[in-house]
Amino acid sequence: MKVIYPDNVNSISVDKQNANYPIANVQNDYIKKAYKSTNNACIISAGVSGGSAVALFGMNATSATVKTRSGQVGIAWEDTVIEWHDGAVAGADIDWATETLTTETVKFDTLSTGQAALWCDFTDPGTAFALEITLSGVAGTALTVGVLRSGTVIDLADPRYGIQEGLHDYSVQTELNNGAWYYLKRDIVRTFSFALFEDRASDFYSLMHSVALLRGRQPLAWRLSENVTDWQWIVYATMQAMPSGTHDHKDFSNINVALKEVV
Amino acid sequence: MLLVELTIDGTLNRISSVGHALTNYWDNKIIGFANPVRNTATNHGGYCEMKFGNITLNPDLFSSDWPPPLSCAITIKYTATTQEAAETLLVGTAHRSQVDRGRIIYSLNAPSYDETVADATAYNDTLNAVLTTILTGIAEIDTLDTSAARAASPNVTHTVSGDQLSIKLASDIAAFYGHLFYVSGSTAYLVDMLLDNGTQTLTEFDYFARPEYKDSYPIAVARTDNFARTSSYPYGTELSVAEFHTTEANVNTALDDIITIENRAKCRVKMPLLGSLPAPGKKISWTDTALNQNTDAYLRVRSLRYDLVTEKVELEGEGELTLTATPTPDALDPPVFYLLEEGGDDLLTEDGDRIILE
Repeated sequence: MKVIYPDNVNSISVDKQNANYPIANVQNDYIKKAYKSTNNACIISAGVSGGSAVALFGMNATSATVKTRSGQVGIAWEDTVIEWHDGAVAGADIDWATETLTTETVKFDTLSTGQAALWCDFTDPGTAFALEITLSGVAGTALTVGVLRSGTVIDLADPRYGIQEGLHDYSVQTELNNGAWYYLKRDIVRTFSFALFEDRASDFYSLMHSVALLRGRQPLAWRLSENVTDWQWIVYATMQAMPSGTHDHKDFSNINVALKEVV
Repeated sequence: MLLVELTIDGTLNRISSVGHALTNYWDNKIIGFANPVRNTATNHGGYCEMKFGNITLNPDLFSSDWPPPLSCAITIKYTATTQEAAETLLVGTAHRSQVDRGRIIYSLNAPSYDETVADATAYNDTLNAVLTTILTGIAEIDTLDTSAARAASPNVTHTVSGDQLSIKLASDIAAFYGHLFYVSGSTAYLVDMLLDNGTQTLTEFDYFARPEYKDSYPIAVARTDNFARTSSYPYGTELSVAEFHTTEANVNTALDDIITIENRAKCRVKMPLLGSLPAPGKKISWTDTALNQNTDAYLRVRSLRYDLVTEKVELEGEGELTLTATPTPDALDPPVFYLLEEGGDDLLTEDGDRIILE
């Protein structure tokens, strides 16, 4: 299981945007308060101070490409002290630096809801890097992205078997005079609850302290399983209640987590 | 969809009870919204005023303008489709009433009509003309629409005693002559309480369970300072109203109308808020098959309670209940029986008015 926290995106831009739905909207916590392109495609550029994953939610894209760019083209000093090379000292004081541009393997799918979720793990460059995300969707439809998160990945053991998944309905339902039902459809979100069995010294406290204690119930980007790559288990969700655990073993502890998708 | 424009420190904020991605994004910053209510001043008419309660907001809305300002300009709208098609319910002022760590509460205030009619102003004209004069004297009202008023507009003969608020005087005169009026935008609409301001028929898929039918204790006598009329319910109560005519016949006609309207059954029905908002005076008809017998019912809208968060509206007004007409026996297909032999031949032969068994 993976959680992106903290989010390390420190700058973001896009090649085109609807003025009422700017790209800055992907950095708020509301999927429906989204970014919209002026057509069915866009290229999002983000500066990230560090991390090894990017996740996008609330999209209507049908294809996606993610590239990471680190390093910088230009002259780089080899040493802090410039010496006059007279042949006695080997090597050069300056050289031509290059950037590393990598097209990453994208884990991407269109959900049955018509929304797409994207999760992309990549090797941590160990330094600040840039993301270049190219998205395209159905012709005639404005491309939309709800939330983008990229940053440090908290990597935990997958949940135990028996993950519970359900739906929470915000719709209005009232009985009509003839016994039929009036139903005003509103947002329906997914809910998950599961138990984790984690190494206490590291993973238990990674989730309890490094995430829950600092982030609270503000939503996070979750990938609930690494072994079962069902895309339906990529979710931008809030903890319905703060997680609780029991220290049943000397080195391992249980944690119960309940999540509700945000809109 | 409830759409609210709130101006905080010169910045327009578009907010709603849930997030709506329309032409603009309407942020989900409204925690609670008291249902606006529209009621006539009396059961027999008058000013049908829209009244608002409180709006409860998410403190995040004021993160960059803390503490929340004492008052803000506010516009409240409703739409079932797009923000361009939204109907405006209120252009007014929100006044801060409570701040705590979980919510900010503002009271909602509609513009107040503070114009007055001077002492000794004399009227002797039709109701339409008199109310046009009074209401268009209010700065926010440009015209009076009389298309749903009584065809033969009754005469008003009255001299004002002491300075009076224009809106109150207009309300009292309209009520005396069995009319209501309401204001939408800069237009006031005058509606005859005895006629329909549009009609709508509901099926049982269109309204919620258990509409209510109630009768108020009847009016026995309606009186003014100088005249009185009685109803056919001598055990009822007495109703006193101000008179706006000097001739007994005119006052009696007005009092008879008041008694008719007051003594009608009161119906209340709750329905989904579909499309545009119902107007006061509209006749809403339905058949209720959940009662002991199928019953036709109608009401003319006098009171509206809008639940803009769950998009429902509760309508109340005087109306009538009647037994649903059943088809006459002739209209039914009577059962027909044939007496046949085993092989299918007819056993009977008609002979004049006799039937012979063969």
